[in-house]
Formats: sequence, structure tokens, C-alpha cells
Amino acid sequence: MPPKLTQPVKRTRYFPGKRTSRSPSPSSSSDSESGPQGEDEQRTVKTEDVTELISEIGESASEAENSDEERDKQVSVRRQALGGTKPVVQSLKEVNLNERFKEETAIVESEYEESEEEHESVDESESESDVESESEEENKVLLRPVFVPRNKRATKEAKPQFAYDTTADDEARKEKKKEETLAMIEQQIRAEAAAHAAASLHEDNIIANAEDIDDNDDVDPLAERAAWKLRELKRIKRERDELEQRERELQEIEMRRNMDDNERLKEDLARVRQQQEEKIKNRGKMGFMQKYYHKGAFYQDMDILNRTNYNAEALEDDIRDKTALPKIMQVRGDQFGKRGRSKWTHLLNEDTSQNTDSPWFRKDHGSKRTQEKLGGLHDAYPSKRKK
Amino acid sequence: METGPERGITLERGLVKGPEIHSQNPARLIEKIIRERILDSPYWKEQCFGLTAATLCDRAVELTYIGGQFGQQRPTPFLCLAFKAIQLQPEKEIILEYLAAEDFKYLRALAAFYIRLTFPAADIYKLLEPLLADYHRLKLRSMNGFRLIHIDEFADMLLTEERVCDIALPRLPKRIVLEDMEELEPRESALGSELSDSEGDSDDTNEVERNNGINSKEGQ
Repeated sequence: MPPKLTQPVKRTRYFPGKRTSRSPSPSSSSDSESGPQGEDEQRTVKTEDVTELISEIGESASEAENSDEERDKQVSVRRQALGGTKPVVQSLKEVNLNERFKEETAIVESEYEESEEEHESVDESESESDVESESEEENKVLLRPVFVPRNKRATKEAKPQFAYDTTADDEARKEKKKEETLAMIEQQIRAEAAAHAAASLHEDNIIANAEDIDDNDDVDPLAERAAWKLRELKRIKRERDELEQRERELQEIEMRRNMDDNERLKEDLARVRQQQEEKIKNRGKMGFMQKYYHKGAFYQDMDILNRTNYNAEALEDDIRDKTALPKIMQVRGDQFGKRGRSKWTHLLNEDTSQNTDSPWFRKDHGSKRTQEKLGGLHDAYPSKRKK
Repeated sequence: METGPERGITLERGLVKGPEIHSQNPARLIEKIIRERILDSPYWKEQCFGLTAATLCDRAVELTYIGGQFGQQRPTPFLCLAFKAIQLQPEKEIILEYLAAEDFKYLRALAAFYIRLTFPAADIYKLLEPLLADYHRLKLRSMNGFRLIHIDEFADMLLTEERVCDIALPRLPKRIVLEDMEELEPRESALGSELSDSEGDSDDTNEVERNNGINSKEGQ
């Protein structure tokens, strides 16, 4: 049974946002946080305040049904009761968020300590007071959280500063990076060009650039003379070799003239045999399944024909050793899997019945009984004649 | 088809009036394609108009490289001047003078080239073999770029190879043939004295090669 009150109170329903009467009511108190009702005047005041505070918190979501003046009056009264010193905003419509922002920045630091203290003192008390203290802060500065850009924040100094990264030098840093990459690319290109030039120089003594060649004769005359000597000696040697070969030919012609027919024939055959042997010896090994290419019967004297080795593999295949592949895949080009490739062999390669090594088909003493018993291993129509 | 420089536009430009060389018009010593390229080249059009033997000499002295064709089949100034010399047909003495110009190696090279194209075989051997002792440096420009060469190498090329500076050289009989016909004497190399001093030729070659093994790489 609800306690009897001094004054009969009209039961008021609780609507969020709607003001309930100041006098404590059992309904209001029951809606509010739990606590003994009517016992402590301060406590009832507190619960009442809590109710109103809760209602006020909910006010942002819903519109106030009461008149603004009444509410504000109540708010001001409550604030004074709680010890607030801030001037109260008259109505929500007059709220200026910018002003609030400024207020907040001013207040936050100054009252941070205070709220801390309040928090500490309040922590010991019940949960209601927690709500109270939070709302106390909120009472002072009712603000919507406003985004503060990075460079306008008060906490900028608190952020750790990286030595290599400052936001103010963003563009300068980008430019520097660009330059670095360009320099790197340039260096790489130079190195490549130099390597290419060096390679070609090494190959053929050919230099692309005119400035690289020194036309000047005065540089190191001794070296020049030595080089010239070498060249001259090579030329002399070449001439002498030509002479010798010519003499040899002449000699051979003389000898042949003096020979008989038979001897000439013998000599010819010997020469031919020797040539064939040399050819076979010098012939390289052809690759597995490599196509045979004949150079042609004409122009055999041309040296250009001897340059390429037609026995070597022409293509660079992924699979070097085709012998490792299954027999089906040992085909040239793209013939694998194509029609007409496989030859019907009556499955002779897969026929294991003639394989006498297998114990199934051996005519042992031990397998004799097995073969009699097992089906499919003896003839369908065995002859009556004993084997 | 009428040929000759006085007949308007013909299929054969640049032909020469005068005695034939190797039983053909001198201009035909150089093949048609290359001849056309020379005649169309800017160097020819600017520099080689109205040249005489003397002014040709001046141009030749300004040369900085020899060569046939380079880049996109462009003829070198050397080639243009050689063709101009063929057109001018200067006297033998003038050419010999050019050949003897020790100070201007490119002029010498030009004279050697002309000699190889136009002179008879015995004279070619007689005139070009002294060049085998001259080891001045030359720049040779070809399709692959620039290359270092020496005068003696160039002379050897002229005497031995069939195609020098992109020009097919007229046929030159071998020296042995001419020796057999007793028009020439066996070649005496500039090293002849050194060779005869040492005991054996092969020893000398080995020794010199070993000594020059490092130097030759620098020189060449």
C-alpha cells in the first residue's frame, strides 16, 4: 500500500518530455529510479530532479509538450538547486551552436578538473549520483559534438611529432620524393646505356657515339707503333699462308698428273672416306624427335651455310626431355590429343594375359589349383583331350 | 635513252663525259642506288656543286670521318667527295700529291679510295702498299655507328676485300698473279728490316705478340 501523503495528489501519468507536478507522486517516483519514497525530503527532491532530468534528456528526441517558460523556470530552479553557476539558455531555439562551441572550448579545460573531482566524489555514491554528475556537466554546456579540424584542435601539441613527417611540409615532401624517383630512373637509364655501350664495344669495337672515339694520333705513340707492328705481322703471316697453300695445291696437281688411273681412284676414295668420317664426328646429336632438315644440295661452298648448326634444337620448349613423357604425349607441335593420332593396336600393349612372368599365368604347381578354381582363366570350351 | 649531263632529266644522272674507266662510264663505278642517294644528299647539293680539284682538296681536308652509308642509308661526305672526284677525273699527279699529304690523313684516305677505284692493278699495289706502314687513326662511320680504324687497316681492306665503304670495288687480281707476270716484285714489308735481324720469323712473331698483347688492346 502506498504511504499516505499529507496532500492528496492527483495521479499523473508519466510522459517523456512532459513535466510532472513538483509535488512528489507515487507514480513519478515509481517511474524514477528506485528509492524509498517520501522518507527523505532531499531524496524525494532528488528523485524528482532525476525524473525531470531524464525527461529533459529525452527532450532532445521529442518535443516538449509543456510551455517553454515553465520548463525553463524549472530548469533554472533545478540548476540553482544543484549549484550551477552558469546562465541558462532561455530556449532551444535560441541555442547558438557556435557560441556553445566557444563556450565549450573555454569551459572544457577549466572545468575538466572540477568534473574530475566531482566524478571522484560521486563514484562512491550510488548510481543515481553518477547520472547526476554527468548531467551536471551537461547542464553547464549542452552541446552537440562539433567536428574540429585537425589543425584547429587544442590537443595538437599532444600528438606525437614524427621527425620525418610534418603535415605542413606535405607538398615539399612530395616534390622531394618526385625528384628522388626521377633521379633514380635517370641513373638506371644511364647505367643501362653504359652497359649496352660496353657490351657492344666488347663485341665489335663499334661505338655509337662519335665523341667516344679519339681521332688523335699523339696519344701514346709507342702503343700505336706496337699495335701497328702486330697488324703488319699478321698480314705477313696471312700472305705466307696463302703462298704455302698455293704451293701445296700445285704440288698435288703435279703428283696427280704423274699417277695412274688406279692410284687416282684409290686416293679419291680414301679422301672421300676421310671426309665422311670427319662429318660424322663433327655432327652433333639431334634432339629427341627433332625434325631432320637438309640444307640443300646447292651452294655447299658458301660459308654461311656452316654457321648454323641444324642439328641443334631450334625451339626452346618447356619440356626439354620428351622421353620422360608418356608415349601419347610424345608428339611434335600441337598434335597431342588430336584426332587421327592414335593407332588402334587391338590393345596389345595393354594385354597382360600373355605375360608369363605374372604368377597368375605361370604354370606352377601351386597355381594350378588356383587356375582351375578361378573363373575366366581357362578356356571356355576345354577340349576333352587331356593335356 | 640519251645519256649525258646535257640532256635534261634522264634515268642516269651524274654521268661523266670523258674517257671510260674499266670499260664503263666512270660514274658507274658506284652502283646506281648509292649514286642516287649521293646525288640526293644535302651535302652533295650544298657543298659539291661546282667543285674543282683544288676546292675538292679543301673539302677533303675538312672531313672528320670516312665511311659509306650511315643512319637511314645516308651517304657520308667522304663518299660524296669520292664521287665528285670520279666526276672531275683529276690528273694522276694531283692524286699522287693528295696521297702524299702526310698532314691530312682524310685527304690521303680519299686519294687511296680513288686510286683503288680507278687506277690499273699494278699501280694500285705500288701506291697503296706504302700506306700499310702508316698507322694514323681514322674514324669509320657505318650503319652500326662509329669505329676506330687505322690507315694501314684501311689500305689492307682496299687491297683485300671486295666491298669497302658500301662500294663494290673493281676486280683486283691477286698479287701473286702479278708477280708471276713480272709486273710486280714480292712485297717488302716495312718490318722487313726487323724480321731479318731476328733469328727466325716465327720467334719474332711470338715475341712481338706476347709483348704487344696488352698494348694491342689499347691501340685497337
